[in-house]
Amino acid sequence: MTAELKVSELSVTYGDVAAVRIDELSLDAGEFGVLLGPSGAGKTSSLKAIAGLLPGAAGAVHLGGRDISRTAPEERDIAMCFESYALYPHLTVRKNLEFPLRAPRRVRELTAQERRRRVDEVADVLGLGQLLERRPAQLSGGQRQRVSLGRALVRRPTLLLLDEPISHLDAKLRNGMRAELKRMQRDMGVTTLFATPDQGEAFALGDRVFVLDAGELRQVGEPTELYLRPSNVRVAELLGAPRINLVDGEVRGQRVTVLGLERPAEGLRDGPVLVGLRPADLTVGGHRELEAAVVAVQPLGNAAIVTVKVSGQTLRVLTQGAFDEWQVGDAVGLGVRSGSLLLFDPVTTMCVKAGI
Amino acid sequence: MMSKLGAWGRRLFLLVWVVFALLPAYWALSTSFKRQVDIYNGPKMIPFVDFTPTLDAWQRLWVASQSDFLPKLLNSFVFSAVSSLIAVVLGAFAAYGLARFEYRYGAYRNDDISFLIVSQRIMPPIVSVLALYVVYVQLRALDTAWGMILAFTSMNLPIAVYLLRSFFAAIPEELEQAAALDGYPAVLRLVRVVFPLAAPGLASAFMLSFFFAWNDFLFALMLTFNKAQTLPLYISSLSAQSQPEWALIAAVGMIALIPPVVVTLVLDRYMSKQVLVGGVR
Amino acid sequence: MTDKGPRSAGGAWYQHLLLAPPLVFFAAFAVFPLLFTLYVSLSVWSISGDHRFIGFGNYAELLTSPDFQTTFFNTVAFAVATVLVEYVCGMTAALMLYRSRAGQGALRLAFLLPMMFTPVVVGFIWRTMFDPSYGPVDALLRWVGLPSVPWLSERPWAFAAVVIADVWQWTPFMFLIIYAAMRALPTAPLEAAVVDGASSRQVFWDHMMPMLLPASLTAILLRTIESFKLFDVVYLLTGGGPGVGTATITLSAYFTGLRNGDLGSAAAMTFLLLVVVLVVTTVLLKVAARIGRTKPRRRVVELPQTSPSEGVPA
Repeated sequence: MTAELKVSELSVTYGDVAAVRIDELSLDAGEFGVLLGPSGAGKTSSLKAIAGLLPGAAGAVHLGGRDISRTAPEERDIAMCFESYALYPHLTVRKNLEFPLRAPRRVRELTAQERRRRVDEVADVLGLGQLLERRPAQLSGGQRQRVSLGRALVRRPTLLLLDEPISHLDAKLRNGMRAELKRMQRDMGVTTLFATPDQGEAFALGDRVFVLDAGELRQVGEPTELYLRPSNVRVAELLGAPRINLVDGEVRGQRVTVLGLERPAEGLRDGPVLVGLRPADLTVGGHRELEAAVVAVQPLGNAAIVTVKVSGQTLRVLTQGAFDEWQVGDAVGLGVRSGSLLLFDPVTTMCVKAGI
Repeated sequence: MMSKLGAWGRRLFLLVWVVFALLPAYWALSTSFKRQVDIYNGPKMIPFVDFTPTLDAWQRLWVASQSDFLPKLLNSFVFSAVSSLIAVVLGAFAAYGLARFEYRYGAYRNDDISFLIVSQRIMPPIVSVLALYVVYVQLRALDTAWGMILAFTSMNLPIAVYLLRSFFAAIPEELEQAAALDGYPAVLRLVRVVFPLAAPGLASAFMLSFFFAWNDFLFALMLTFNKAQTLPLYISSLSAQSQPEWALIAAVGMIALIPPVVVTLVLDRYMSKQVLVGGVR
Repeated sequence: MTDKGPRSAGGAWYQHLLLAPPLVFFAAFAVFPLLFTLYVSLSVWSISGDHRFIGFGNYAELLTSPDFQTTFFNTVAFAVATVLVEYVCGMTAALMLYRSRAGQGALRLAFLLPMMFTPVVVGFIWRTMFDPSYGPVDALLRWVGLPSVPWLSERPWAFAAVVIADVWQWTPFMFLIIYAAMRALPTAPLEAAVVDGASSRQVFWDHMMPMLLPASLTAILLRTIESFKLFDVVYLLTGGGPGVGTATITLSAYFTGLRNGDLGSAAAMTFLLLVVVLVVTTVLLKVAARIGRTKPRRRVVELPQTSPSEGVPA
């Protein structure tokens, strides 16, 4: 049932414009992969290309060791949840869920009773039991999303592609769906590729994260690995919230200087360098290495983002605890957790050193 | 803000126009209930006062020995229905193609192709029907059902293509992609997803086609002479007599009115239905 | 992130197959007849099948024939007169109904009724309506004290009779399109104009009319194309008489070709008609395109029949 996915040399072009170029993308059987990228990065195109829906796509797709590059989408045994849900508006929820089971290639595998039971099962799991006779127009966004998910799961596909399936739900629903999705995926053991612009979802769901930017994969790995050792600036920017601070630094004699702070930097050539500082690795208050001025305070409830100014550079700091501790204009001390600096080459934007 | 004079002027205009629109229709209806003497003895408008209504004309229509009405009615109905069906089916496939794919035939792109197809309707039918007459003679298609159905199909296909293109363009392509991944090959995607969603469009195209075929006079006049004649020709032949039986003609006219009225009423309601809501976010 | 635009149909054969039927029909029922008619028009071609190529003889003969000149004039005059009257009446009716608070549903259907009659029946209705001895029109004139009119037997009157019958049947079409366009107008600017103290006349000419222009042009274009095809009503109402006093080119071509068996002349007539139609249509399309360019803010009002189901949230 479940199988490994191997995509190589995938490219999608619209007219003369190359939208996606992926050298290699692999998932083990049953693995949950997250395709993380900002909007416009080519996530949807990548998923649709893997599904075989884009005539302008080229490349090889192997699923369970079988080359399906030339197989029609209806024969690939891949299910996909579209960002738009793509429910059939003229069919009831039950008919929508049943639709894949009635396809010519499956219709003989199941009796009408079995079909019914499968639909009821999926509807049960997704809490759609009461809605089976409704039409998509009578459903809320969250309900539609669940129907779309149900339609993908009901036929137990070899590969499940999810295109931002929960990013349009409200926050409360989103958290619930995240957990539910992870649990179902694990239970069914279906190999899954999940596209999202939300780094939080990548952390919460991904066994492996593929960072896609401008149509190309920037880095692949476990989420924490990507967070701690991003291969370049874009990856560092895409993972971690609030966004990483980037400030100019200078390497001289195996040491790096940034904001008046000095750290060892063995093996680096002298010259300018881009330094990444995670807001969560910074602290304000008390007596610290650096003098800073509070510019803005954005409370988050149990935490706050304090924007400070140090040596003419603006930094975001994620503080724990009460936010009313800080007032705009306060002079504060700024601390930088040791081993948290990321150094990037300002020209190539590649990471040259992490964890100092 | 409107002056009193304006309001009365408006009411007067509406009244005059309603009378202008309805009076001839009423005249036709009342004529169908008159005897020949009542018709030829000056205008009689009010039943039971001016004249004694009779169902005579209405009854004679259905008696085969007294009128050719039934076979002509059947012809009109079958030709219109079959040709409209063919036009809508063929037109739907073409319109789907024009809505979904990019064509390039020489300098002709999608818009040019659909304009080309619909431009056939700009050409006065008399231009082609003379040539068709000559060809039909050669093909022995004159006065045949298939000949008329072909001619009506050619008349309606452009409209069907033109009308349906916008309907298909409004159906999100992702629904088809979803159906593909759900395991449906291309033809079934059309039949199970696209066509049901375009149902209002298909129905409108069918009914408009039916309307045009039903009302056709020129094609039938040129290409039939006896057994493939349609209702309009029957009416025309009745009125060509020296003392036309206006009551009979009026009755046929009233019956001929039924399909267009149904078409109008159904289109009026059906077009406003919103079928696509809820499918995509 | 969605796919950009339709896919190219460069390769797949079935995509071309989709277009094949209409294109084949177009070739068989438009292109071929057109070329064939052109050839026939350049020949002496009898309905019995004998034919001989003669070049432009038929055209030369037609252009000097007083009967054809009358027919030609009639065709153009009918088109101008009917489209003009129908547009003014349709616009007025739409405006009056738009401003009327009550009875929009019932009156609208009443207005549309004439359009539903089969054209041949329209011919019958008006032939009896205009009959000098038993028609109600003359009776009405007498009742008001006016002299009776030889509706179907003398030229200007017969011409008027045809125009009236056509106006009766097809004003509803103009009304339908313009009324639909009116109802689709944004009300805010109109209300603002009223608040600013504009008279209803000013509101109409300065605010509504510009917005109704595209729909007006669509309606006028469609009716003009149709009006050049005028045939059935004339055929039944006057038979083209008196003489050729109300004959249209289509009617003459039918009589010349099928009744008199002179297909060559008939074909030449239809070709001249086609030239007129193409010129007029091209001019109207150009005007429409120009208006479309100079008024980018305007709302596009589509034919009610051609608008697809709305409400597809993107």
